[in-house]
Amino acid sequence: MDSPGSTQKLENLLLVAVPRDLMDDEVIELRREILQAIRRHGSQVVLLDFSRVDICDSFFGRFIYTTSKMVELMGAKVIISGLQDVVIETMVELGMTLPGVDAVLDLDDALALSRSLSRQYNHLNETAPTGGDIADEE
Amino acid sequence: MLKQWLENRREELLAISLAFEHDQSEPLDDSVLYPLLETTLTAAGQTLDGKVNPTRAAVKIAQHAQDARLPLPGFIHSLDVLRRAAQYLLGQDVHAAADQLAWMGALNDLLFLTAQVAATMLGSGTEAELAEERHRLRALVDALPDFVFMKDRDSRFLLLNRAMAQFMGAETPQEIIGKDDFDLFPEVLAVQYRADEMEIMQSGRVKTGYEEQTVTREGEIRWMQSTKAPLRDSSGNVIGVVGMVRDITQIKQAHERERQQRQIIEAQQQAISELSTPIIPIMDRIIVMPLVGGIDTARARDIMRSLLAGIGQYRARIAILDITGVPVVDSGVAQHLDRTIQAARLKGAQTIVTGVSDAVAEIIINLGIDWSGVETERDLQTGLVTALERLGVQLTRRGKRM
Repeated sequence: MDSPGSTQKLENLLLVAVPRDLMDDEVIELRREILQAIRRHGSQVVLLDFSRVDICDSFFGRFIYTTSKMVELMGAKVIISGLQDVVIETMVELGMTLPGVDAVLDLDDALALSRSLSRQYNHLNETAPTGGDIADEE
Repeated sequence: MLKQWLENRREELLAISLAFEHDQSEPLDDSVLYPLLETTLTAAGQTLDGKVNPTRAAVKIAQHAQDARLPLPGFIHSLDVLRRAAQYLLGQDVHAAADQLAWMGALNDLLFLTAQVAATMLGSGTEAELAEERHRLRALVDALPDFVFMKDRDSRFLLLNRAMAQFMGAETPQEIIGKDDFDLFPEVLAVQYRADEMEIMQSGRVKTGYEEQTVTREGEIRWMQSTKAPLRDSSGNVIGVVGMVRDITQIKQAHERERQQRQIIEAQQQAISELSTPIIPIMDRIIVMPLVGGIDTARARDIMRSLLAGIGQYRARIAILDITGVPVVDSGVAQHLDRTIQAARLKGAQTIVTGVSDAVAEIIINLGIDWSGVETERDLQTGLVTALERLGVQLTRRGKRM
């Protein structure tokens, strides 16, 4: 209730539903919460879902940018999903195109992408703890 | 604007009014007439400005006439002189043509009201003066192009001006007096007029500037703007209703034409923008957007919006932008396309640009445009094969080669 967004662990994925109205100080709090959760759960993929966000200012754009950079520094991968058209228009206008970050249409696509990323990861780290076998989606 | 006109032409109006007056057999004294006209013009200006309501302005002018001990016929005559002077001056003034009707209407209203107020304030004179006064009031009412009328409690005409009588197809106002709207108009209109007038008489409130329809003798529908007020006797009881009605059909028609034209233009713009940014879902999760014609900033925005919407609608993971039909690619167009591609990526779709002709390739390199991040293919077919590969779909011929 108190936290600005809801972060949820799902297998080796950290699911973050970014709330609609983020105040400036809540932005920083949410980012801290995400980073702590990555450390706690050892998440390999962080999924930022923006489907509830329908406004975007430069501060908010910076939140997406800095969060993705910090998550990458911690060795995890960022996927963003559900960006709305108006938000995208503003981001492109502001030049915040987030190079290197994977963007997908919605949660379905995000989960599919996250699974294929995990598969690659598990190939490299046979011993890595996962939530069990991941079904082949194709 | 009217106020401005009045300010600018003030001296001329006064001069012309005085000149008109001097043509009369018994002209009024300048020392009486000049201040009166000046007061009237100032009051008219304030009324047009909306600062003072017309009734108060009329009372103010009439008071001035009373202070100057002006006889009523002389006063009403001077109002008429001012009206004629204004009409004359407006006729000369080409620039005022557009506002002319509205202005004259406002001035007419005010002068008419003033005459009525003055009639009660200045009181009755001798029999001859009274007759003269009645004559002049009549002349004033009949000179107005707007409709002016007075009805009793049962909405029967007690008085009406010539313009209104002619509208109803009568030779003189006398033919109409004593009749009611049910004798003169179709029942549906008469019922409505009667209801309005009942409401005004019961509430005792003035109903200003409302629009209503009426129909001519020939069956033509006209739009009217009406102001109706309760008519009271000396002890304040409502004994009927007075009204002023202006034909605004032409203004209405002009507005309507304008509205229709705007609608057509909007519909066409909509059609053009839809035509210019088509989205074709071609296979599962692949859409194609063929672009034809020049791309400016406004169209670039439409293209981006349409592409984003298309990606969402068809759940596209690959968008193929075919620019075969784009005649010129300059740095502006290249930048617009680049932004569109970035936006599509944030929405979750990769973009492949196809149809880059030799000429376009030459321009892009010569202008030093950086398109290194843009994936391009020669033509739509090649682009489609690449897109399918990207999605893990392979195209093979069935059986042996023919």
